[in-house]
Amino acid sequence: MKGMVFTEFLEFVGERFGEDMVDDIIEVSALPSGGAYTSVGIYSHGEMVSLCGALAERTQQPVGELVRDFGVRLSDTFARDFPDFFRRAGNLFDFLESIEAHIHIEVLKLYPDAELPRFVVEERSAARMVLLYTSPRKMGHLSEGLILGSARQFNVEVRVALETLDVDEGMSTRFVVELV
Amino acid sequence: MSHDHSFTDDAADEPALTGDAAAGRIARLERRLVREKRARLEAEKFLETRSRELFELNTELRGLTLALEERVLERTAELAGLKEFYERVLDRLPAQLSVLSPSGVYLYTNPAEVSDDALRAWLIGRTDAEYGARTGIPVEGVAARAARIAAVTRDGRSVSYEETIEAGPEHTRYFRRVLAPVSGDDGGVKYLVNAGIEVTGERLAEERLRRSQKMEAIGLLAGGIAHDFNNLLTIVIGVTEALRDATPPSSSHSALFDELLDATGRGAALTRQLLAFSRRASIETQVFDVSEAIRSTENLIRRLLTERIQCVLMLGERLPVRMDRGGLDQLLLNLAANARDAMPTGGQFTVLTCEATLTPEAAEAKGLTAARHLLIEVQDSGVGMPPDVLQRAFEPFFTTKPVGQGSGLGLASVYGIVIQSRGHAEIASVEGEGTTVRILLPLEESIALPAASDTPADVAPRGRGCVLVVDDESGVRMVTTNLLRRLGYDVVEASGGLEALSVAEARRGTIDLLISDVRMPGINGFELATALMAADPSLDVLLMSGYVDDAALRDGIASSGIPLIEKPYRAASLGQQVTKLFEARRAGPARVPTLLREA
Repeated sequence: MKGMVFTEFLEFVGERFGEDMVDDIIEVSALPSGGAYTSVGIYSHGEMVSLCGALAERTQQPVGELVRDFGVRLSDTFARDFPDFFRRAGNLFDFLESIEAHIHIEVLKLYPDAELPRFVVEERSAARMVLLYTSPRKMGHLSEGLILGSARQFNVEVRVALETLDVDEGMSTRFVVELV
Repeated sequence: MSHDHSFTDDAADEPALTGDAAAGRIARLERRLVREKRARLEAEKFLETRSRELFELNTELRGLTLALEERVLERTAELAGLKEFYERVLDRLPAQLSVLSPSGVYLYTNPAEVSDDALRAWLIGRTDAEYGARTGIPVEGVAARAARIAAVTRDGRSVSYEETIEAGPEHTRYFRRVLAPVSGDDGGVKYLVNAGIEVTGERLAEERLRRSQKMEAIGLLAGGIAHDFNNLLTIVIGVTEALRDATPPSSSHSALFDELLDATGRGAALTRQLLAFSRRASIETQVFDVSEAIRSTENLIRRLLTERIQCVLMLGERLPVRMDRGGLDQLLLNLAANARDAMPTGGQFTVLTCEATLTPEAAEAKGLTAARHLLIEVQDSGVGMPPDVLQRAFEPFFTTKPVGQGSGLGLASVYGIVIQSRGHAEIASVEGEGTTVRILLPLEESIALPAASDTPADVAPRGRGCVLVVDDESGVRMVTTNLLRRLGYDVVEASGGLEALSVAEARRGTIDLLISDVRMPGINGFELATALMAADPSLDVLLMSGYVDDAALRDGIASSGIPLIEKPYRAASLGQQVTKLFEARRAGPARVPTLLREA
């Protein structure tokens, strides 16, 4: 997993729960990297799972909620660092559709070794979109947060329903995104 | 780590710690610093690795770029070379070539198709309809092209066709063309290629050949008729002269015989015309100045033209030509007679002579092979001829004159004389304006001295000796033997070559002169003469002929030195020829014919 996700996650934890919480979850997680993340590095997805688990335990909050909130924050970072993707899309649904078609392609140009999830648009209408997320990392809640955060970038309010599916290549999550 | 929390900042915001709390805090901060340092080192290591990778990639990329640039330069040069090659080939292609879209829009055309650079550039992106409107191609021609383009596009099959373009007055150009489809990747017709070659030269040559073959066939027929007719005239003349000689001059029949002989003379003139056309007349060529010859015929021409027609001669100096002098006179008189009939109310008759300059192509097109030529242009200001008459003007027996006023042999014999003299004749005419006959003849380098005139007397001299007369035509044989006997000669006769050989064998050493027809079944007269002279070198020979159709035989006789008398002949002519041979025999050593000398 790209180091940027880790650095952004620790930023998120630091902002919301304080730097000591950052130190605590790093220490209790016994990470192979020792928590010394750089945005350009690549680290095991297991470290993220450990960090999220430690955070949930310490804060007594559900992992899903925490990860979703991190996703919302991560979308702000994306909007700040890569505004062209948002500007070019023009609206939320076009943006979500462009993740698989354009954004991931651009990511792979920069990081050929990146392991990216799949975002397939199953249905789309003016007010509704059905997306199928597939990834061996089971980060469906992160994606939910990213969808919610992206909606905020386009100043639209959405309702997102999740349906978790088991498929051969890992966990899939079907998102039903409806404009409110 | 990208998030930055300094000890100082944290310490300022928080209350001071003491004891274990302070120690724990310090230990936490130290671990954070260790993490930060480790992260920094990792980042540096990553950046260093990545920099090296980027440097190597950059080096590789630069190499690739250089190789690519080199390849681009090579390919550009190759493409430029190919472009230059194809442009050069297409620009110089001796065939017309155009590429069109299926809708008939010109995409390319080469200089052979449209020679004008500006017009060629203008044509690209335009259709035949626009091209036709600009250049004056008839609407029917444009429509035919459009229909072919549509058919080839629809069927996907090429078509071959011939196209005729009227390039100017009396200037038609002929093209053989192919319109072929060029398929695109989808199998449909993407382009149409139209290739064409001009076949005007071939067409005109075919036309010339067709006319030449027609004239040749007619000539063959005319020659055959003339031969038989000459034999008949020979009999009629011989019998008439025999009867006249047997009739007292005071008899009323004497004048009738003269009238009959005069008529046979006109008949003989007709056969001469026929033979002249068929190019089978026996001719005696000599080199003489054409202008001088025309001047010497001027009085005759003026008399023929009558006073109402002005005769203008524009004659160049020193124009030597090799031909039969009599043939030239006949040619001029025929043209003058035609001109007179074409100008019933008067006009102008002009004869012009000069050296003609011809390009090798023009000479070849006219079937001429000599290096230099002279032109005889004969022009009248008469009624002219319509195109259909003009086209047949040189044909024998073709005449527009009323029955009895023209034989249709005048221009035909002109044509024959010119062709026999290795020349070219052409005729142009405009109705109401007149007719021009242009004759081109090979120009000789020098002029030979004129031969001494040898006009035969009208009296047949008597003589002595033994003559073998050979002719397959019994009537001719009869009048010839009769004539010779009347002149005092001993005569034996044979009806053909084989019989003549037997007679000569039987009378070995007693025959002084052989008089034989040339054209006979089996052994011809020349072969007979050759055989008998080989057996008896002292034998004299006189050949006689109405016409000789075999060119090789004609040339053989001419080069052998054996004299030839033309049928029909008068008694006086034959008598003088025979006398001349016997006198020569008596005067000098034995005559050795050329063919025996060569043998």
